[in-house]
Amino acid sequence: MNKDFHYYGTYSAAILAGYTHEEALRIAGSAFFVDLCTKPILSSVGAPVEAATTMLAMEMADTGSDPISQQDVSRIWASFHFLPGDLYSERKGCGKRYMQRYHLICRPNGDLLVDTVSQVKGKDLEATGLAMHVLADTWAHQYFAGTPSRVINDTNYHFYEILPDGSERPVKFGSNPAATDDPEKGTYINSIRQSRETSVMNLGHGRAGHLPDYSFMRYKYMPAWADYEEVLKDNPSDFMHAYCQMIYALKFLKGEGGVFKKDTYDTQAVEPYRERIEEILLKRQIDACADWKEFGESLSGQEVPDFEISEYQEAYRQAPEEEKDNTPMGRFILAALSQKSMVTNRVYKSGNLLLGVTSDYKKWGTKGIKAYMKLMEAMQKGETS
Amino acid sequence: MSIGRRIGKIISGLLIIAGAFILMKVPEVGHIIIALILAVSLLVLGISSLIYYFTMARHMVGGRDTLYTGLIEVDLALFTLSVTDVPKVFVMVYLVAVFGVTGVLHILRGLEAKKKQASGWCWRVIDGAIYLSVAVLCQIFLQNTVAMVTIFAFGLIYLGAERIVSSFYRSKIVYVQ
Repeated sequence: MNKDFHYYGTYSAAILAGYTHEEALRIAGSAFFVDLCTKPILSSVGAPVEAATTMLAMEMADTGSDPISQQDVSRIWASFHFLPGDLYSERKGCGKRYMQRYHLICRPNGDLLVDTVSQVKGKDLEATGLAMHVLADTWAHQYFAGTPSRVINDTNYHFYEILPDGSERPVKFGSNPAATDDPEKGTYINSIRQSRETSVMNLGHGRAGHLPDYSFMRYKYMPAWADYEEVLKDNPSDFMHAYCQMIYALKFLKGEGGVFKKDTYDTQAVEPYRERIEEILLKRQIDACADWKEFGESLSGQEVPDFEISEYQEAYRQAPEEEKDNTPMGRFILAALSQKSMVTNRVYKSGNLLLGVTSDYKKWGTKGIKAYMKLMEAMQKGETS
Repeated sequence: MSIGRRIGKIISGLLIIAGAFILMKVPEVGHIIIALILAVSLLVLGISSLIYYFTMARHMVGGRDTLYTGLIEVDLALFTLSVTDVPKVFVMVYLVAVFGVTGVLHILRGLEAKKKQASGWCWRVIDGAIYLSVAVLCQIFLQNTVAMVTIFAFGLIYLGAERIVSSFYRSKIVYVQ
């Protein structure tokens, strides 16, 4: 999913869930900022780099195969873009090392999704937006893991696009970074094949290119982990599920009490607009921003401005030290630290060290690790919980 | 990083440095030692590939390639071990190429990282400069075994030191609920 769905799509979902134009903009801005918040962006305004929710291609290229680098990368991608679906799934005849990676495969409606949505209830709209990004990505990025792993994320020549008329066409992948995807010719860019298990080329859906991010795309392929079983990925259906689940989640977060339920979708709210939404989802285009923007504006009757990252940064930079956490970027940072912390802990407690080790603050203190003190201070002030 | 992994990195770093000093101590048979290092490296690679296949890749679509790669690497390693009269020039050209390409890649990545304001770009450039220097100097002293072996040993010392230093990095985060 790209800016079209994460920003304009999330905006329209928030409007349908009953949020005001201003509130929907805050949610959508935060949802999209997840794809922009890199360590350089954070360090440029003096914010803690541990709150990074994505990485530059350059940072990725420099990722080492040592456990520290691997954990650093996996914490970011598994927490925000490839939320693991089942940390305790079983598979016969596989060793611990393999299963640790297998458990990080992203799927919708996992226990971690419930935790992700539930933990932002009663918090700022920026936290809501961040959770919506994570939720939406569980649909688009399913079957891939947010950790560099060839045995999970690799793909092979058996990769076919299913065209609107139902015919199949082999997908031609190339790795020229200067080229662009061409849906008409069926040529797409993917990451270079690497035999090394922990190469970043084997992270997430890199080996399948951007196909999981395009709403119109239907394809079938053989995931490395699926024991030679073909998987059909129906993005229009998955994106619609993501949209309906977002509306349900947004209504849950806006309402009083209750429990967030898995596998629940607000199809009722979508029904009057189903035809228009399906039209946008099925349109064969790389960038659907214009269509989603127009749809969102038709719902709210307000203009949806483009997301300005510089406004986020400037507000944070200019705020006095004690007020930084009350800026949109400050609130986003707290939400990001909280999400990363929660996911890392859940994965660690499942006996999986791929995201790193967590420690009990009450028992051990910070042991000199200062980054997460910001989150502790915010909790003590009651700004977050 | 677990304590075991930290200790493993420190031990391997110390072994690499020790190997470098041994290499400097007996430079006249340097190219034989280098060939030995090559063979051992291939053997380690091959065994790693086989372990990777039996523990993980056998569950993967197309994982059998790893098995074949591992077998070929082990075969090459055994072949290299069996060769007593390795041409010195062949060994040196290989080393120069490895260090040179690695150095250039490190420098390019470092400069690109600087443009993107990514952290640690300076260290990448320094790493690259050192690898490149080793390559250039090896090329210059191709006919001088003692000098060439000393330069290569310096590269090994740097590699070992890097492993030891990286074992002290923090990887733990504090969980806050």
